[in-house]
Amino acid sequence: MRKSRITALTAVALAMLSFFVAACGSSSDNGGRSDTKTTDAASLKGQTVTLWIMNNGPSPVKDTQSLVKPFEAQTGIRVNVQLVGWDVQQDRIRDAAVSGTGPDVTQAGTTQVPFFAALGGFENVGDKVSQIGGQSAYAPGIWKTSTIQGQDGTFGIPWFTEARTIYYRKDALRAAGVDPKTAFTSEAALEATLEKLKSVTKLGGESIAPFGGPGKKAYDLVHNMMPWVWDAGGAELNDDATKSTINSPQAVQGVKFATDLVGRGLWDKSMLERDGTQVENEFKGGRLAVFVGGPWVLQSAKRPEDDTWSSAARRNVAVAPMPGGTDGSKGSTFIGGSNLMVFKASRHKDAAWALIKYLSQDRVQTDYANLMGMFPARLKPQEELGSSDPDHQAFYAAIKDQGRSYAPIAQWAQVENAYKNAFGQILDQSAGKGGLSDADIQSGLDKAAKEADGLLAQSAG
Amino acid sequence: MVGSRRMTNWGLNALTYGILIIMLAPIFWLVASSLQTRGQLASGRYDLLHPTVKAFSEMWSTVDFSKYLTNSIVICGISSVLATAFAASAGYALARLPFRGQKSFSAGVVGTQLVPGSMFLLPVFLGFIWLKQNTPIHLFDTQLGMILIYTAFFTPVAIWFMRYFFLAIPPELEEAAMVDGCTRFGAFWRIVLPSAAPGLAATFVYAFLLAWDELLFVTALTANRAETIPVGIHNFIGNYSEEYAQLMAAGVVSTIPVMLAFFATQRWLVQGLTAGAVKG
Repeated sequence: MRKSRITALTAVALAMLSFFVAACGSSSDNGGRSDTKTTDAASLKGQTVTLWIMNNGPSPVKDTQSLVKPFEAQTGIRVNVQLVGWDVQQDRIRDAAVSGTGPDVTQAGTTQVPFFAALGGFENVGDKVSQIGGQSAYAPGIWKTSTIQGQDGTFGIPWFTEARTIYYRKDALRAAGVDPKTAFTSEAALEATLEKLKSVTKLGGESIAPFGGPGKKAYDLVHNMMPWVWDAGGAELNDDATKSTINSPQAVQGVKFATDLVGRGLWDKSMLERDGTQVENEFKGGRLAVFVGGPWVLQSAKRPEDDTWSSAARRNVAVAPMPGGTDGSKGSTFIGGSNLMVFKASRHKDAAWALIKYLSQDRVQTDYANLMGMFPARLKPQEELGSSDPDHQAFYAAIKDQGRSYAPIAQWAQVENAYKNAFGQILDQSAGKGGLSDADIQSGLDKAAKEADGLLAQSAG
Repeated sequence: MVGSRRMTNWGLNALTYGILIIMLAPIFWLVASSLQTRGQLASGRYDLLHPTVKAFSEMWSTVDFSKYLTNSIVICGISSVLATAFAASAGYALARLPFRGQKSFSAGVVGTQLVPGSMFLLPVFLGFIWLKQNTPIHLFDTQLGMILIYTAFFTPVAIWFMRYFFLAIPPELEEAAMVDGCTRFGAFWRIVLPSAAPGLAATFVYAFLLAWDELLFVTALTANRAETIPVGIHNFIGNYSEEYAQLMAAGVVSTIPVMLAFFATQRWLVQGLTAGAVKG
């Protein structure tokens, strides 16, 4: 309570500063290309590049330091890896961008890049992209996250990618008499599978529920809910990202698919009180037969020291792409991850770019993705990892065929927060009432759309 | 009659122990959780008979916890010493040396506590950034900057504390010292300050505890180098993994300096608080 109050106070105070500085700085930054001149490698020797990373895995700083060691040896550039918690990273990066007192390079969540870029404190690296193979080296959906909608410029380079897929227990499906090949091909198939899984109440010595997903406490609730909305033909915003469409009839149907799972007892209601990692731990501990998770879960199953896995769950874990839509479409999943951005105030821009170039090499991308349990951001290493085993194949298929992200607009974080609150309330109501009517869902989404429209109108004005 | 009194005593004792258990339960839970594995915490199946200290050894490499701990000890320790020193001087002046504008000064000291701290945040932040960009004075994200801020914020209330402690000391003591040849400062230094030791300890511990828990300013005025435990401890929780056992271990480690400060000064603290409470 105290922490959230303090965070809110900090945010209010510093948001004023951000907008003031952003407004002042924007006139000189319109579509400007980086004025950094290419410097030969020898002159960069001895420079130190400070890199901010977030806690992406179990040993984030140590792993990143070992990753950049060959770069340091080759170039003589020292990399100072600093950890910034996910809790405070939005404030830290924003403050650094507007005050000019930050590091040289920072990791930023893909959905945050447009917000940070709009502050005017980051380099447009568009003229250097050809040095790392151009944008064709990346999937279009992933590349889009490094831009701002309606503006020229490239403000980040995709670093790693994550997508959500279905995780299931092979032994649970066997016990329920369901063929894994057809279990998750469509939303109707998913529902039928979960209905059959209801009969499996105990497995590997644990009570087990068919399905579970987090509720309002999950930072990524919108990432979890939007695939159902997209599958139903809905969208988060209209095409030019000027108006919310989260209350469209299609979006209502998408959300209804999720609330019906809760209402019919297929989605364990108690999971709605947990955050994403806690639900993940329930699956790993053998208490859920199916859940939706990212690639890091797959990697953690291979780490024997991770004792959150029960032996039965570890032995039987498998992955399938997200179910297809009701209209026979391929289905959707959220793809996110993180990009690397160079601060305008950096005094070592060439060394910073040299580091980004190194981190954009296919082999380095693969190494980092393996360390963190993520997917590389570039197409070629993605494909290689995707062909390594059937589970990674499912992830690769999800990224390639189903991956979708949000419109790259500066206001997205606030809009997403409005949607998150609405989804959280709707899921809670659904748990309380045992399902919701279309009208109930419509009313909740109308409020979210109104709030989002207000946010979009404010910044347009 | 005796039986009824015994029952009352028994009931009060039971109530006391009940409250004690409620107060100590979170601390027990913190320590017990720090001695479990990730899997045990995730499933909620604690094994208290087979504790492990793995989380305590791993917490130092998962995040740079030693940096946060050092920053907290240095920043909170120095700022508490400075706040106590300034408060001792100012508190003595308010208690013993009538001067023009004393009432206004006293009201001003109290008044600073009526303004919410968050109101100062933006000006201080802008000031630190301006200094960094335009002068060689770097206060943003430095231990020095945080020491200055905490000293400034905790000194006013410390002055008020110390004033009451000095009022509780009989003025005859220092008058006698001055009769024996001490200067005013000599009497303050040799006679009053040692007599006010319990008050100094109480004030120091009070300021130290406030600084140790402070989150708002350290979040806004640091970037990476000068972060203290309240910020750093969140790094055990990531978007993709949560190290609850290590978080609990870090919680245990971060309470140790506070407990040491408390127990080292406990005798003076209780004495000091009592002295300050009865004389005004």
